[in-house]
Amino acid sequence: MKFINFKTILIVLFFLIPITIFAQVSVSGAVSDERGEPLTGVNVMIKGTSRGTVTDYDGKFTLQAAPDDVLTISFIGFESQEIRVGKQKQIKIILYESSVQIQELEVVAVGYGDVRRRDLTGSVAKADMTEIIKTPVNNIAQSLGGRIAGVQVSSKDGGLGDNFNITVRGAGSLTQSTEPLYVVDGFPLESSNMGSLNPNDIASIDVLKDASASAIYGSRGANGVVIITTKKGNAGVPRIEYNGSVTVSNIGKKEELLTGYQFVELQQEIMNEDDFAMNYLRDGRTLDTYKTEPEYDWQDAIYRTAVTNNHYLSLSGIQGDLQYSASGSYLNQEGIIVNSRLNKYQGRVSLDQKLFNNKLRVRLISNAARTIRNGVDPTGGSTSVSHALMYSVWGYRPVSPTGADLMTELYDDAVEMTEDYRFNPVLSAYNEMRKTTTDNLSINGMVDYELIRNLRFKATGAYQKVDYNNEQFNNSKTKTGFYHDKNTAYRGVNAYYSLNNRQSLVNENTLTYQFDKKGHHVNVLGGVTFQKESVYFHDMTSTFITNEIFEMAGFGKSSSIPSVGSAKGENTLTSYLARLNYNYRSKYYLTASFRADGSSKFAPGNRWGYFPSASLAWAFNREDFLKENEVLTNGKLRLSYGETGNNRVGNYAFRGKLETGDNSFYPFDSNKFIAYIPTDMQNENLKWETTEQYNVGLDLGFWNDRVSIIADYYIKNTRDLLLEADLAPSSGYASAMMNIGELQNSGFEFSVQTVNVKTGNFLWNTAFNISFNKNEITKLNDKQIAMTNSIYWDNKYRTMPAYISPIGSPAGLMYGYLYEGTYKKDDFTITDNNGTEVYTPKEGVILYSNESRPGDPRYADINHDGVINDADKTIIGKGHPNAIGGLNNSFTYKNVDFSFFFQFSFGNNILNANRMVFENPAGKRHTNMFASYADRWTETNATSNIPRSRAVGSQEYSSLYIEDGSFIRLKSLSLGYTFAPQLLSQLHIAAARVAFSAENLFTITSYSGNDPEVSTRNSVLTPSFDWSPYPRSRNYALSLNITF
Amino acid sequence: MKNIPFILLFLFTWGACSDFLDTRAYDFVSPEDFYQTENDAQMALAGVYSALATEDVYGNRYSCMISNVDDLSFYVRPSTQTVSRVFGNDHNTSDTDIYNAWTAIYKGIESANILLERIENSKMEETVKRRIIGEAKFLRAYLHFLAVQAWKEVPIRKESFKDVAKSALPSTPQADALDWIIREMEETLPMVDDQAYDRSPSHVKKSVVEGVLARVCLTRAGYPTNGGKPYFEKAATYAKSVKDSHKHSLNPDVYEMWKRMASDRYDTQYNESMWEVEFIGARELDGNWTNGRIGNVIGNIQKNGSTEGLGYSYWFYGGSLILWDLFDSNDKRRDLTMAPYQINNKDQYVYWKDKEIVQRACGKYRREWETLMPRHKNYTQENYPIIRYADLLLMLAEAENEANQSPTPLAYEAINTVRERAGIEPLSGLSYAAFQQEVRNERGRELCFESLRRYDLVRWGIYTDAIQALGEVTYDSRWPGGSNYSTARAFAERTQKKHEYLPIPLKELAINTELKQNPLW
Repeated sequence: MKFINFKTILIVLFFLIPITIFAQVSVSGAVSDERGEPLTGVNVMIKGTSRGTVTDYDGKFTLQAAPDDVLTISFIGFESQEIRVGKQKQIKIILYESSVQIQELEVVAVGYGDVRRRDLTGSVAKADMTEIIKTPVNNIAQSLGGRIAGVQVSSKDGGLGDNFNITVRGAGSLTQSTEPLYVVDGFPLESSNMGSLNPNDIASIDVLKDASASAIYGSRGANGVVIITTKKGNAGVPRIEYNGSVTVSNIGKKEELLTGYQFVELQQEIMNEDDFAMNYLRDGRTLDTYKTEPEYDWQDAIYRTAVTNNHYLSLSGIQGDLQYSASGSYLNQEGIIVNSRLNKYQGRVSLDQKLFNNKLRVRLISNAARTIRNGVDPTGGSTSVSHALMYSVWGYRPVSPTGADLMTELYDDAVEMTEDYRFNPVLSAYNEMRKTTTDNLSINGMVDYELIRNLRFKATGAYQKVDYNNEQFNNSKTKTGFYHDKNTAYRGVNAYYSLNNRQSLVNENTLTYQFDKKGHHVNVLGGVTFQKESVYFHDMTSTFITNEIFEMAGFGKSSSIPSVGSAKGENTLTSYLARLNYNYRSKYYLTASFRADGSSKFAPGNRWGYFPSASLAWAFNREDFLKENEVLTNGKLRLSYGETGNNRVGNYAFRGKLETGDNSFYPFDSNKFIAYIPTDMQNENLKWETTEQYNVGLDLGFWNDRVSIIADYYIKNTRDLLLEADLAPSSGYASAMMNIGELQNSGFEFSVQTVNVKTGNFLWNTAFNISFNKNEITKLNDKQIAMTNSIYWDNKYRTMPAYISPIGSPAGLMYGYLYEGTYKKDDFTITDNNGTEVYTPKEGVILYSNESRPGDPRYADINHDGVINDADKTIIGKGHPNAIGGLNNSFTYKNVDFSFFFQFSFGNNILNANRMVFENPAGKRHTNMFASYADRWTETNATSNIPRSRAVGSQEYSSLYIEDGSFIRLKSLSLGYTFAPQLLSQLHIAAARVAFSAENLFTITSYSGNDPEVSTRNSVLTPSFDWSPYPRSRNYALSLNITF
Repeated sequence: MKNIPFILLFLFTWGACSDFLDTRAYDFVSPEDFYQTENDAQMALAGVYSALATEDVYGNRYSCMISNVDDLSFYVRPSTQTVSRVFGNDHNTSDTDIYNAWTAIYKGIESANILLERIENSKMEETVKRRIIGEAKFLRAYLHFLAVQAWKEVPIRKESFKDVAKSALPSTPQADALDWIIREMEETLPMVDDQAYDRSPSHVKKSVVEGVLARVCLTRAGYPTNGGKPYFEKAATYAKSVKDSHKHSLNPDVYEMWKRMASDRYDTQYNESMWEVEFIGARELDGNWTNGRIGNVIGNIQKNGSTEGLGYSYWFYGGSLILWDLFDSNDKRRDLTMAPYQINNKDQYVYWKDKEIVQRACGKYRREWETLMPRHKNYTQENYPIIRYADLLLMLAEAENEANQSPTPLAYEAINTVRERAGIEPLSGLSYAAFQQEVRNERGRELCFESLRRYDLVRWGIYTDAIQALGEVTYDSRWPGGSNYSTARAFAERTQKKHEYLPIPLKELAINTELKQNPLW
């Protein structure tokens, strides 16, 4: 609003000043935007006359003017300015973008260059950074969810750190990574690096969705491309900006558990009378006394109210031809599980120097970050459910029948330790040291030189290094460190250390030539790039460390021999690329690109992949018949086709492997004799995976973009799918990387932005987007009709299929029995045989097992063959959503701004494995259950469809545990106050804003667990599985932003 | 012209060398770069042997979980712990242990196949090459035999796996498969060593090949392929050949061989153990990572879990009353087989009372006999017998009796050698049927807990009957109460004809569309 006020004042002032005529002189100047980018085509007029000019390619202009003349500088999308010439000969003008962003003029990164949105032919979405950073976030990926149509952001649970997964337009692969390619300031990365960037440093995030946009990244563009551009120095005086926030987090939703009394009642049901009496009726206790016995709330003990501090400080500006910016940030984030914490230290420098009259530009950007995460991963462990932290939290006894204080004891004495590995979860959280340190350093250098007019050469060289350290230490108060003759996991005091070092080097060289002639605008790009990536990994384990005070220094101070491992590898990529952008009078557009990639990951004959694309666009609102239309002010139709690739396979995927190691030997005559064992088979035929994508899009703007709409429909066909495909184990290999299978993703994306109210004081904007994606497997391995996948969360389920991905259906369907409730007494004829009851099923009642009794789970006999077996398993749920999206509303009234953002997802199910354990004791003793289990089948509750406590046949995946995972969540809300500049100027403060914000305030869902966004074993083939997650927190933050 | 450096740079990079895409491997070798020297070939052969020493094969799963529960040995835990498990005969087609064993066996076969195809070009002495080929070929056949005896009809993988798109392969009928195994093993007879390894049960050598051939022939002779007489004769021939070689004999002390097997000391005087799977070390405690849990999952009861004590054992396998009743009280093997004491967590010996019978755990593997210190709680140095001379003698006795439909003098000589060592009366004057029963009982007394009984019962065609008998004996008044012991009854009640063989793992069937599930599964 201040611009409008300022402008009004200026205009009034100018009207009051009498105009005097002076001799005309030559005045020249340069116009740039806030970021210092020269603006081409800006109108510079002498006020009150028809004389004027437009700025050239470098934003420069020259005209004749008298000192008293007032220049009116106007450009669409920017606030107009008026400047009195006075005695100036060189005028520098900075135009500010108009407060209502006109989408047409938005600069969009398309890879190896930028274009304005109005000139865009592909499907590229831009994140609204101003909205996103209203809520303090530590990782920008976290805030992208629901903001951009076609972009899905998922995280496995609410744990700390960089565990976000971005998928663009559906999963393009089945077993390999579906992450898009990330390009940070021109540096391409196959895995997200956003955790090492500070959100405040990010100028823009653009997502290339269709093939015409992403094909310029060729072999790695099939999953979409996310282009992140960081801020350069801003114009004007040196600017110091501080951002700080304090966030308070707590658990959004705890699980309801059985009360102490209900728990003991359940134990009575499970145990025989003697065992029960011995365990629970000590010291004169009866069942009823448990109504008043003190109870433990393990959830209260493990969760806490966590406090997070976040500070960011930056200095930026322009000094002559140098644009500079330097920033640093510090984060101290507490997790809501005790003793979990994330610390981040990050610093960044960006220098941009123009030389030789802007002919040469040199840019240097360097970013360094250290992220330290502490605390247990609750999902960990796969051989037994009882290894998981939440198993101990939920399953630990709520009462202590012996009177001992369970809270201070390492383990529960009553539990059979060889079968159930539960451990005091609070002591686990405090004593198991789990620390990961990620050091991230990147250095990008760039030179850009204008060889001849309009021909620019650009070369970049970049280096990135990521060191990932993992430290684990278990003292004598941990699951593996405490001695007990039944503790099968006992390793003494033990420690683990690993270092994973990853380095990449990139060199990219491009030539760009552009010219405008008689309405023909041509921009041609050609280039060659080289990239090399190397990894080096080693780890050490040491057990039986002699003294726990050594902690991580205990390696070598142990009575055992540490075991070590190492791995090393590298891959290289060479590419040639070319692109043509052409338009005629900004009405008819053509973009064509071609890229050839050679990758070391494939055998010499199959190394090269070729990826062409083309797109057409028609800006029909610029046609004569619509030119003057006041309703439809923007209209563009886009069509594109292109091929992109995927090479996300191991560094040496095509080569056969023989491995040896610590483990591989045969002790002939009791002497260690090194052995070589084939682990991977050779596959010289392995080649690129190719995705062809068709896209049709429509951009519409009404009433000067008060309403703007973008709609896209796409079909993506992926062939030669790189698939870690199962082999018949009798081949000697469990799986191999192959080019088999075909996959189709098709979908529709729709986003609309409106300016609902815009008056002098009040502004109300709304942004809504929704996207639908349909995923279908069209072909699999020779004769294979479906892929099945099991989840390894307990030995019992290790090879039991939980998911199926059949041809003709989407990937990641849940698979198991159809649950039909429990067997009822009516289902049996009960006869007496010498005092024991004999249960004979009645006609038509199919038993799961001969031992099935009333109260046991009953499954549908799908094929009507009279037995319940593997053939009766069927599809019982869908793991991926049908539709995702978000709705944002932002309001500004005078100095107050308010916005709230809803995220939603519809149509997926969740396999709630937590209920498979905590609504299903299956005879397991001393284990607490969810409160819902109070309604189980018992003799007196014989109509219940929740299986009885000693159920036979309950260890199966069935529709009983499948729930609807649809949700609408109030993801974030913020309320801010911006101080008036007059108030601040005395304090030398240019701007200041305070804000309150909240995240995850409420969620509308029918899902019974903590969080419907969960997917603890997340993969395309095994989505939406919920087992022992780190719960998602609810956060409240106060933040302060000051600019000096 | 000042642009020239840039243009040159551009052109230079454009024309970059193609070597850039040839990366080198650091942490593995490719098969095409391997098998060059004798040393390579030896290491590859060690790779084939090591398939046997995995936890999935002889370390635990195949040897114990799958093969050591029968009428004489039962799983000593509450029956709830055997639900859905193969050792409870309650497994289904997606059982993890069965899948793991299947996978590990075929991994070994692939190892052997690659070696056999690649070794030809390697530079080494021809005699060594021939020996290595012989051992690998034998091991390939033996691994197939392990699969056939447990799963019945399985695919025979005669060459290494090359085309990823074609991993399907149909099964070979059981009789044909066994015939192929016999032929393969016979071909290796002139190739394997017949001298250098005589005193090492580590290696496959001629007497091992002959002994195993006798076992395969007996399998082929019996149920369900019922090859009958020619195979019994063949079995007798091979067994006799070993006997006549005089390279092996019985150690007069029935404990001695087991003590040595538990402590990595060979009995080179008697050579009773012909071939055993080698395990060494204590994993992280001494850096030797073998995967043997012999003595830990199967073995006498020992409760000291510390690294400094006598060792820990879960004693999952205990002797049944049927086993106990097979022994005369003066049979030296009784207390070897069903240990008369347990060792508590303070390493004290606690003896069982006379009436405590079924409580006694398998005593052939005792961690107290191990010599290695410190002791790993779960992984042991104890080796596991594959074939030993007592088995060979009993096979000879059985084959002779069956081939001639009456016991021959050689049959008596063979069985009585075993009985004499055990300190029980020699046999004489028995009918064919009586002798047959005596051999079967003798095999039970001599060879239980050695992964043989289950397959003996199947080839004799009496598997379900024998397990039913186990169920009945649990009603005997001497059978103790307590949930650990009632498991035998639950096991017997669950056992059906289909349990004679394991189901083919579901994961195999899902891809190998040429393969059919075993009919009763």
